[in-house]
Amino acid sequence: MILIHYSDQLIKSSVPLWVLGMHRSGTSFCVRALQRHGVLLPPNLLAPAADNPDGFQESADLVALNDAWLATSGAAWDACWPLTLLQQSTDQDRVPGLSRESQRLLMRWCRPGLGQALALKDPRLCRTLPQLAQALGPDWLNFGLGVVRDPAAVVASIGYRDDMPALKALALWLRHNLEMVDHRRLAPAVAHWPLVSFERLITNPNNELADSVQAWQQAGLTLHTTTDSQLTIRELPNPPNRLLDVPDAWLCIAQAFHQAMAQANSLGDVPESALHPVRELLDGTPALSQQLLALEAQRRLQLGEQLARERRGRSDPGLLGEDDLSQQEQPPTAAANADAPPYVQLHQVCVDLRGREQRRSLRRMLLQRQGPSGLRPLALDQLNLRIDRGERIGLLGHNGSGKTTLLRLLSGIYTPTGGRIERHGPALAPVIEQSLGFSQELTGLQLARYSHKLHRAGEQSWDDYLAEISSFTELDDALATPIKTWSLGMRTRLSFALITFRAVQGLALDEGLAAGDQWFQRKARRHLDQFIEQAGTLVLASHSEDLLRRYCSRGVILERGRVRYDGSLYRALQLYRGQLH
Amino acid sequence: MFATYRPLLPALAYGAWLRIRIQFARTLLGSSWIGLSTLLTMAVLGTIYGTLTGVDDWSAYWVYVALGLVSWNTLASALTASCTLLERSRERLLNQPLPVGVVVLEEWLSASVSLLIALTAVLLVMGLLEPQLWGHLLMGGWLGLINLLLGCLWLTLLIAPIAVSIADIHQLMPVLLQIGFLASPILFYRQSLGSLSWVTNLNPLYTWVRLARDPFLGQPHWGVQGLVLGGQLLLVLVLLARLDRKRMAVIRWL
Repeated sequence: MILIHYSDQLIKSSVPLWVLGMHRSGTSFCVRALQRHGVLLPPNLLAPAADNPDGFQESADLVALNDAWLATSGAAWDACWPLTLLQQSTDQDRVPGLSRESQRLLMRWCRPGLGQALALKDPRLCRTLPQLAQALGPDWLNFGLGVVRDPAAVVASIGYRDDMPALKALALWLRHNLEMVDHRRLAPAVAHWPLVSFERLITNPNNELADSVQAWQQAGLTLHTTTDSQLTIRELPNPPNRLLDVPDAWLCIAQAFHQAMAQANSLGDVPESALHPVRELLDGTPALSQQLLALEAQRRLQLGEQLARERRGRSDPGLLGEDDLSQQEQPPTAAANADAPPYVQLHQVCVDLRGREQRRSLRRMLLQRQGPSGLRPLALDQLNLRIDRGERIGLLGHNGSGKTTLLRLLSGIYTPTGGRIERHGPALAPVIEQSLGFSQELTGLQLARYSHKLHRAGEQSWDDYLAEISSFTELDDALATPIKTWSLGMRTRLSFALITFRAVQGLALDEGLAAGDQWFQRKARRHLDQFIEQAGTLVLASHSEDLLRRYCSRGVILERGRVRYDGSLYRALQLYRGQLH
Repeated sequence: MFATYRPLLPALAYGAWLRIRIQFARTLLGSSWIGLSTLLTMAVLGTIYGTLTGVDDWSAYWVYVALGLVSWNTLASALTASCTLLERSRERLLNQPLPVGVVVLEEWLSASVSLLIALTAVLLVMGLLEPQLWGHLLMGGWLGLINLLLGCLWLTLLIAPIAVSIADIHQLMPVLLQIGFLASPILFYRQSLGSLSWVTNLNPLYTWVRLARDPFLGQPHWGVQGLVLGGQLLLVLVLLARLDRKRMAVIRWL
């Protein structure tokens, strides 16, 4: 993974360049092409995933913000109804707070005016741009562009990635593109935003973007062509001619709309006559609304049945994805390492922690038959799992599903009470609870010295180690005082530094380490990225989709100590969300 | 086992020293309190018991009581601490892949340092009354002290994993130790009990007090001390290996 870091100052003095486009329409590729013209990216980018190995070029912070905006209208990223429908009934009281949060986030990155461009990309922007424009003001909308791609190709791609029915994916494509074009009413400048055809862009990126880049330069944006980054151009499969369960007439409307957009130079150039049939189809066709409602009801029914089966203790691997699809979704590293020995492999591993809540008394020992209680399930139950070197695995599961137990097992804290664990390398280094251990009476220096003797004595002198810790934590003289006099934030800094200033091969990480205050966001996030990068293999247990997306490409869902799903992170997140709702 | 523990030794020794620092943090006299408390106990209890039992040679009696108290306190502290040792180390054991033996060794090292501090105080003060104490230390006293410390170690290795699963042991231990202390000739001579002197044989822990104290009283028992040393070393190795092998059986209770 290539991590791109710009100085804070450079980012703060940049100008927003909005990149709009439906999911799977090539906006990531477009931003990578724009990077070659000196366009910057915001911090905290989503990590590459199995289905997008080159990275997403969108900030997890912006995605979270847009998700929150969508939630104020009771919608999620895959809602294809107009957002205004539910605005009176849902979380409207959160709007003022979200407006302030939008201002805070965007102003941290950029400002309206002229300067170097900062690409703000997220497919959700097709829907949330009006809310952001209201929060920020029209000055922020001077520069942007839209990316359009053939509807059938998008439907096929999103159907593969998110297991979405074709009809719903088509409705989503129509809604996103319709609202994207409608944004020309937000401010006069938006009407001049160029429209980029993904099909032409992938063939000749420089040619497709040339006019736009020239227009932006003339308008005062600082752009310059670089050859630092290489664009990986893949051959695209031909889009299907027909879509399953989608009437041809509806697909024709979408294709005509796509053709009109592809021929237009800017959002303002798309003729109103091309929008009318789309509006009619989306908002004036009861048959479409009914079919979309039926699909939603069917999805909920399936999830309900699955949950009911799980509660009865019956597994249903079929629901979790067909075998062929699972195979295609395996991260590339796993396929490449198929012949190499696994880093760790669990064979029918059990961890039995039953009865630990009833620490034995002499009375119980003498009068009752010993043995584990049968009321609780095993912490890990006949678990089979293969982890290859360099894999990034996100562990998902409800509280008590066995995530922490699995982390402890992989890091050698627990040993299997049944089955076998096979290792071809050192155990993963555990970062499970952020604690300084020992006593609050000790000073930061004493704790750092202990940590140095335990982990770093062979590789680094104490003076160098201390200088590094002191500089990173910015605790300076406070290090010589007892930690009981420290604030929680100071303790977190030292704890984080003691954990991450060492070399490890493989990491079993609980999400607590990656949560923090402003200091963390400013300084520690980058260090954590490097720490994880050098660790290579990563198993991260978290409930945070942002974190998992940032660091992992493979997802494993645990349920009552068993693997319920193992495959791409996207499918894991999708299924996990389904289980939750 | 050696390969596992050797890289950990510097951290282990430093951790033991930190434990002492924690124990006496914010005190005016720091770890000197270990020596002072021993001398104070010796002075008060020695005066009472010496008077009650009609001691003739007070100088020898003070040495007898002081060494008895140092030995017993070391043993009793180790046994009491062993009952809660793994519970107290819960956070470290559940978050770091350290061998379980590390926390036992760390505790033992800090107990050893405490013993040395207390003994130094006793030798400095009692050495003025009985200068031959220093010679006895070199002649066999050191071996008795090693045997005392090894006894503390293997008893901790034995008791700690049992106590973590049976909570009653922690409640039982102080009672047994108090009875053992009062019924053993630590503050009084064995012959003071007269016909009841057989009672002193009932406390097996008193054996380690004798092993540590007798050489300072001019009875090195080289043969016995050597045999005990060999046996205890073997026990330590076996129990340490067993504790690490049974790691999961132990920490599942934490």
